[in-house]
Amino acid sequence: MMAEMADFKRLALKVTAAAIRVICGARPIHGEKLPPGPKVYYANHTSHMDFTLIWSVLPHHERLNTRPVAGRDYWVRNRMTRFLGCDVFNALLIERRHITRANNPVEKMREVLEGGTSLIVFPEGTRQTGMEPGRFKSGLFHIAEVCPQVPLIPIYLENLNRMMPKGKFFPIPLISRITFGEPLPFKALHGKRNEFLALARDALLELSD
Amino acid sequence: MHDPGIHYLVGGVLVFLLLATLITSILCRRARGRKSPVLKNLASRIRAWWGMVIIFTIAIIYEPTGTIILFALISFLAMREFVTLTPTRPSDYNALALAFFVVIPVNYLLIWIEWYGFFVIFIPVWVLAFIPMLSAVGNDVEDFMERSSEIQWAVLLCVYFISYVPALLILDFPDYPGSNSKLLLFFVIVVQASDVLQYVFGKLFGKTPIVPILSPNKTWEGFIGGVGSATLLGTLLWWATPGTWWEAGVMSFMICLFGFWGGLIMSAIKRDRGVKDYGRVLGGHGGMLDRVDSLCFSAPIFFQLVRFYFT
Repeated sequence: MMAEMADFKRLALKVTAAAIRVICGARPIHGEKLPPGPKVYYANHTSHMDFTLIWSVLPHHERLNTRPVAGRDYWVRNRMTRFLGCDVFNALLIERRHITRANNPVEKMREVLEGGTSLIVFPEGTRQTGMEPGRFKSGLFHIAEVCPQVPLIPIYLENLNRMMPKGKFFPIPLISRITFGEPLPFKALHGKRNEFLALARDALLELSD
Repeated sequence: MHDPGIHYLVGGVLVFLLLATLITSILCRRARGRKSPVLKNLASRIRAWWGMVIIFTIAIIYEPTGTIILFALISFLAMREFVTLTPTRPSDYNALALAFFVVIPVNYLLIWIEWYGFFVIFIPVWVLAFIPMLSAVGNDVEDFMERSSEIQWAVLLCVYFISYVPALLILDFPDYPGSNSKLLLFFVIVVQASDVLQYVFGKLFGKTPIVPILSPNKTWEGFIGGVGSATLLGTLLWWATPGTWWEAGVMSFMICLFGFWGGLIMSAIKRDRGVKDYGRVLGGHGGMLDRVDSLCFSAPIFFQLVRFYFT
C-alpha cells in the first residue's frame, strides 16, 4: 500500500513536470551535465513560473531532491499560497525583513545543503519588472561563503516575463528558453562581496545571448 | 470518409511516403557510418512526414470536427512560435491572452457552426481593432506600433489564414459529389508537394538564387521544376476538385505560386529576427510555422478563388 502510494506520487510528479514543460515549451535537460551532490541553482527572477519551470526540466531524481528558496512574507499570506509553497513545492521559506540570529536565512540554507538537498535561489530577491536582471542581493555571497564546496550553477530564464508578468496568474503559452551554465569557477572570498556578486551576475548574463 | 476519392488520395500519399522511406533507407545503408548532413536531415524529415500524415488521416476520418480541431492546434502551435520570436513586452499580456484564449476557439467555432458571414470578418474587423485597444490599456508606449502590429500579424497569419483550410469543408458546390475533404486534401497535397519538389529540384539543379539575401536556397531551377511538376500533379488530380482538368491545373499553379510567396515572406520574417527555424516541434522540419509557411498565404486565396468561381 505504501509502495503503491509512493509509485502514484512519483507518477503524479512526473506528469505535472511534463505538463509544465508542455505549457512552457521547454525540454528536459540531461542529468550528466550536472555535478553530483547538493547544488545551488541561481536564476533571474521574472515570474511565478520561474522555479516550477526549473523544477520541471531537472532530471527526476534531482527534482525530488531540490527545494526553491522563497520569501516567507509572500507565501504565508493565505491558505492557498501556503499550500502551494509548502506542500506542493516544498519551498524553504526565509525571512526577508526582520532577520534575527534564530531565523537567519543563510543558516537555514546551509542546514538544507548539508542534508544533501539542492536549492533554487533568485538572488535579485524579488521578481523584476524590467527586461534586464536586476542587482544581486548579498544572500548568494553568504551561501557561497559558508558552503564553499557546493557548486553554484547559473540558470538564465527567457520569455517568462512575457508569459506571466508580475500580477498575472495565468500563463500565455509562449516558448520559454532555459539555459543552464557551468558551475561558477571562482569562490567567494571574505570581504570581496561586491566583486563576487558582479561576477556571478555576469556569468548569468553571459547565458542570455 | 465513405468517399472513394479520399481513399485514393490518402492511399496515394501513403504509397509515395513508403517509396521515399525505402529509397532513404537504401541510401542510408549504402552510406553506413558516413551519412551526410543532407541525408540525416532527409531521414528525420521523412520520419516527421509519417507522423504528420498519420495525424492528418485521422483528422480527415473524423471530418469536419477532427479537421477543425487539428487546424486549431496547428494555429496554436504556429502562433506560439510566431509570438515568441516577436518582441512583445509584459504589457501586451491582455492582447496576447485575447489572441490565444479567445481568437483561436471562436474563429474555429465559427467554421464548425458554418457561419461563414461572421467568420470572414471576425478577425479582420473585430480582433484587429481590439488588439491595439488592449495594448493601449497596457499603458506602455515603447515600440507600441511595432508590438500591436506584430500581434495583429500573428492572428492574421497563424489563425485567420490557416483556418481557411478547414473552411473549405463548409463550401457548398453544385455538381460536386461526395465530401469536400477531397478538395482540402487536393489543396494540402499540391502545396506540400510543391514545397518538397522545389527542395528536391533546388538540391539537384539549383544555381541561380531568386532572392539571394533573403533565402539563398530558393533558386529559379528549384522554383520552375517544383512549381511545374506540382502543377502537373494537381492537374492529374482534377477528379478530386469541382473543376475540369485545366481548371485544376490553373488552381494548382495558383496554389504553388502563392505557396512559394508565403514561404518567402515567412523566411523574410525569420531573417529579420535572426533565426533559422521557427521552432523544433517537427524534427528535421524545424517548427510548425516552417512547415505551414507556404499554406498561410495560399489557403485564403485558394478558398476565395474556388468560392467565387465554383459556387
